[in-house]
Amino acid sequence: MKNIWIIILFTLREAISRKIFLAFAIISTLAILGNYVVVTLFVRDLMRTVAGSEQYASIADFIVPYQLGVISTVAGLGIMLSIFAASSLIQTILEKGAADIFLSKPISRIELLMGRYLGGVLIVFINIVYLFVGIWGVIGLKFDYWNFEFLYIIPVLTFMFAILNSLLLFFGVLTNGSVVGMMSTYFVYIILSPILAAKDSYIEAMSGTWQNIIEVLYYIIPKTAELQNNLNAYLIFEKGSVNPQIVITSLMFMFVMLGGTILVFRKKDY
Amino acid sequence: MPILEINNLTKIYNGGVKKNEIKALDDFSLKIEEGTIFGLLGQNGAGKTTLIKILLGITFPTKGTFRIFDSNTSLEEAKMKIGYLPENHKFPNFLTGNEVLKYFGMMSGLSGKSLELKISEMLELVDMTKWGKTKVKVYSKGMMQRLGLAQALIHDPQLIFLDEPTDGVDPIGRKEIRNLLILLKEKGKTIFLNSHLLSEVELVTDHIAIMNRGKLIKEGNVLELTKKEEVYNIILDVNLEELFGEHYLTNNSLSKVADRTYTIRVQDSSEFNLLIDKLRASGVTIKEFSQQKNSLEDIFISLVNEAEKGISK
Ligand SMILES: Nc1ncnc2c1ncn2[C@@H]1O[C@H](COP(=O)(O)OP(=O)(O)OP(=O)(O)O)[C@@H](O)[C@H]1O
Ligand SMILES: [Mg+2]
Repeated sequence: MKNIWIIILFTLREAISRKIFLAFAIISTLAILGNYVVVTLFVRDLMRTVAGSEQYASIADFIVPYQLGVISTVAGLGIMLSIFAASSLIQTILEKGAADIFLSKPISRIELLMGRYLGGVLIVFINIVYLFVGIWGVIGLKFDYWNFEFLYIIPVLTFMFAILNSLLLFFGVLTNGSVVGMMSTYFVYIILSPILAAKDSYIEAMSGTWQNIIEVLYYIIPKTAELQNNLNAYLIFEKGSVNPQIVITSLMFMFVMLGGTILVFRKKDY
Repeated sequence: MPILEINNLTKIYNGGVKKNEIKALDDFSLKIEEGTIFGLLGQNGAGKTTLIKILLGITFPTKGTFRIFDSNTSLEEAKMKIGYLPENHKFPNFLTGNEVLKYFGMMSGLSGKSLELKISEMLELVDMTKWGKTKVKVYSKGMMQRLGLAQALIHDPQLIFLDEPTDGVDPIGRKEIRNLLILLKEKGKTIFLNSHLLSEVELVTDHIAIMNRGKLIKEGNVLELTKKEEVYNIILDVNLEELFGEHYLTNNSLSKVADRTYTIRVQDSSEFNLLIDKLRASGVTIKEFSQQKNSLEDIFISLVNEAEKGISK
């Protein structure tokens, strides 16, 4: 445990040096300020227009849709930046010349891997907290409307990143580089997961074989798109319903990836 | 009991694809006694680094076993008492010298005040105190090497593996490192050294092994390996032939190599002592004498050539 913590500390140190925190802080601050501008200038009027009259019953009626909009844009951006920032983490310890030193220390390979993985998740968690507490705080201060449920976005996004980070780690260890990991993680997050999430709208039109392929893929690929949309909507705004299957299969994907990474790493020559 | 015992290690890289296979170690066995400085010599690609990496669990053997410390010490535990300076090591370039020692010190089990003390002690030891706060990305090669040595020694290990420790270090630094190795030996540490610099190895090691293409071809005590039996150099204050005539030289198996300097070839050292007595009795002053040695380089080259011939046959 102590060894994992040392590696986490080292990872945080790296994030500070590589200006990962600084870059996140600047982007997040811009997002928070942008949110402030939008909230003060447009939201009330816009929502009034949308509602068609003065008839909205409470502040929540226009804030909640706005928050939903924020989540679907800002969350995606946050995850993409996080993948980018975390993609090179594994290389620092496994590149030629560095691996020899790290692996010669009395730390097991599993501890080394887990320290790096959890360190990456912690970095992203800290940044997500800043970003969304900031946005939420601005809305709260402006309208004196404090829906704590909004903050569920923080664990959900962290969970999503934890899943994607396991994919980054797996390819990082497998290929000794960051490119393949980064590409496949973006591919899963931006393309595959949303396409599979929308399968009900196109699967009928496909041949039997393709239907089977899509169904199988649907259960294998982590459901980041659904986590981001359905789970947040459900937790925060109590809208719709969530099938626990999307959480469970995504978790399983994460554990399989981590297990696979450990398996590859355990006996790899450096 | 030897501190390190290696039994029939074989390492094949890229196993499976026959034509790409590289046999880096070939049935390699070796024992190293505690408290010695051991030198492993071999040409580029002989397998020296591979051997150390296997012992530290960085690479895995294809066949064979090894034991470090006693047989019930796991590799993880053993590593608490092992220091390692890899060849061409690369520290995370965003760290300063101090931080490198801090994080690697922590990984080796140090913490708090004692870690801080150790960091400054180690920087002092390798003469890097004034560079502690500088990022390692601006370090020169020799400075990286010094820091690497500090990192290897920070947790006061019992067994120290050094892969080309003087690589890139200037002559003064090299001498300092040699002195450091001797100091460590006096403290009872065991040092395993990989090096190409044979003249340096000769100065510090007790025992050496020479390997070629993954095989052990010679092993032994440095003094014994380099000793040329029964040839002595002797320097006097006079020329013997002027004093006693030419026949004196042939009678005593002496041959002249320079003014007042001779070599003597004898069966054993008592014969050499008899000559000394004789010279002293005649009032000749002996200024210097020494037994002739092969340099380690001579031995190395002839052994490797022999081994290569064996392979090409
Ligand atoms: N990771 C690797 N994958 C494949 N082959 C390797 C690997 N590491 C080393 N080798 C090969 O194993 C052989 C032994 O290499 P090693 O680095 O142990 O030699 P060395 O004796 O340390 O050489 P040098 O004196 O140049 O440092 C070489 O032929 C090398 O090409
Ligand atoms: Mg080497």
